[in-house]
Amino acid sequence: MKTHVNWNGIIWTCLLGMYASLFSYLLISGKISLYLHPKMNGYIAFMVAILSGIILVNIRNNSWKSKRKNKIKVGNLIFALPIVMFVVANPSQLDASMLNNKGYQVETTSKVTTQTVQPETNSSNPNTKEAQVFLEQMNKLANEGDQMMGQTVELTGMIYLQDDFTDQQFVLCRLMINCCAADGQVIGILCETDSPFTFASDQWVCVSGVVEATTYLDPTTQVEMEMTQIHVTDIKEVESPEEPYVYPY
Amino acid sequence: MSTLIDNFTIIFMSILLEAMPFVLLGAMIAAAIQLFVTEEQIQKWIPKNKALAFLTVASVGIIFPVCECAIIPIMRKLVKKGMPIDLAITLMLAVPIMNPVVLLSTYYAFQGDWSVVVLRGLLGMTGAIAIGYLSGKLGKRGWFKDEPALHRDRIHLKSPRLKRNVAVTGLPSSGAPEQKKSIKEHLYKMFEHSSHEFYEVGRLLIFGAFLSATLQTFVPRTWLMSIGSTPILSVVGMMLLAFLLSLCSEADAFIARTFVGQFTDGSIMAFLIFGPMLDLKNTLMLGASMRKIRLIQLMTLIVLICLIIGLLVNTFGEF
Repeated sequence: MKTHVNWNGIIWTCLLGMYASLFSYLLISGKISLYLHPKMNGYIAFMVAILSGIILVNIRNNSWKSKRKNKIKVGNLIFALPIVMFVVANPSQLDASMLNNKGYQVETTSKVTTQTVQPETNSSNPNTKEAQVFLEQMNKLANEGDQMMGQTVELTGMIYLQDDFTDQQFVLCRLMINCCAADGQVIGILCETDSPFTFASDQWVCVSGVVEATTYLDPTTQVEMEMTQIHVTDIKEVESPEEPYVYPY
Repeated sequence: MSTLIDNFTIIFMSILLEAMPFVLLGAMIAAAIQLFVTEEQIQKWIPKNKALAFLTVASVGIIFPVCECAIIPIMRKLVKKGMPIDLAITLMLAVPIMNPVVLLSTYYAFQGDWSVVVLRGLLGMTGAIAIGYLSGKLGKRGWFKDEPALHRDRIHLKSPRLKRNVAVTGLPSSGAPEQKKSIKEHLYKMFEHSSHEFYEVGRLLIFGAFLSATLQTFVPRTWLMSIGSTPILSVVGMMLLAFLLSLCSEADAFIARTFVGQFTDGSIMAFLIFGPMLDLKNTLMLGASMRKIRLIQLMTLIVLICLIIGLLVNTFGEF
């Protein structure tokens, strides 16, 4: 019987090889942290190992030979899509337009940070020192905001703007990741300057200011809420950190 | 435009990177069940008393934590090995909720409030049992696309024509373990099965992740916010959000928490229960093996039961 080339088998094995290579690259280069919480790295390594096993078995089984002609399956094209997207886009960070879609409920900062954020001091803490400082400050502002009135604080984060903010208002924030970037939440604090500021959305800044109470009218619910904010005394642009995310645990 | 593509790619890849290891794990476990588990073992493991059987499968996730992506191929193999469909569906729906990591992250997300954790677990189990029970009443057969072959194999085992059928479908004869093979051969078979399963399920995962990422990137969440306080629409809205976001159940509690205060308690509980049971990506994955009419029936049951749970919480309870 005539032997045909099993194009689907070859393409599938090649695709698995590309996935294993891509995941290995993301792990080794550290770029995986753009997509996932560090706790997931072990699972990605597991996946690379299993994919390698499948590739070896496919090669052993001579899966490139077939007794009949076969058409290329659409499923193979679907599997190729993520690889093509990654190579073409090669993204570097989530920008503020994405944070707008995720939505920042200004008053929930305090609710999210209270006990949700568990600053850990042991070696398994996935946060960088700098991110840890941010988390601890957010925790303090959420839990002890009343006692902190009038105190000066310094915070580094990303500027987030909403349509309803004035040109003297912004939220200083970071993205908190629980498992992957898709579930990320904006965690931050409302800031107010004395005069219109020139920084743009997405810019990383270091803010110094005084803790004070304010009221904020939520544009969706039209409910006025009391909350803590920072009255900015100094603001300067800084380089974005290598690890922009924070992890609650 | 390029930042939109960047954002989309990050969200799309993050959903895939999170889910793919578990789809692969599920494929390996399903392959192991296919090769090593017999019908007799399944019969022994499930209690004879039906009520106890439902409770057992609904709580097995505590000791066998598997996420909603991995459980689908596993459930399919358990049915092939003789688990009744009502128990299999209960297991599939309950395991992603009765997962220690899921319950713990619910605890953290809701600031150490155990009542949310307990409610999620209890209502999740109850909902899964109700849906499983009702699914069984719809019919014990005809759920999966390759089921007629399975049915024939069991009844007419001695027929040479159907013995050939067994060889074609790859299903071992009912109850009898595979012929003795070396561990190496078993491993090769496992990887082969996993490869096939990963292809079948993975392409639908990618498609589902693509749709979810599109919604997350291009549709602002503020569109939802206006219905937050309405008792019925809020539940529907949150269930729709859970379906479209396709978040893994280990992280969805943190997203749910951000809606507290602006959405009713019942809608948030519905989000926490409906999400692990049914979402865009696992609907597509189920569609690969389940018959369309049965999938629609199952989806209808899941939607109805979760809606009822959400409305009951709004009517009688608060947390």
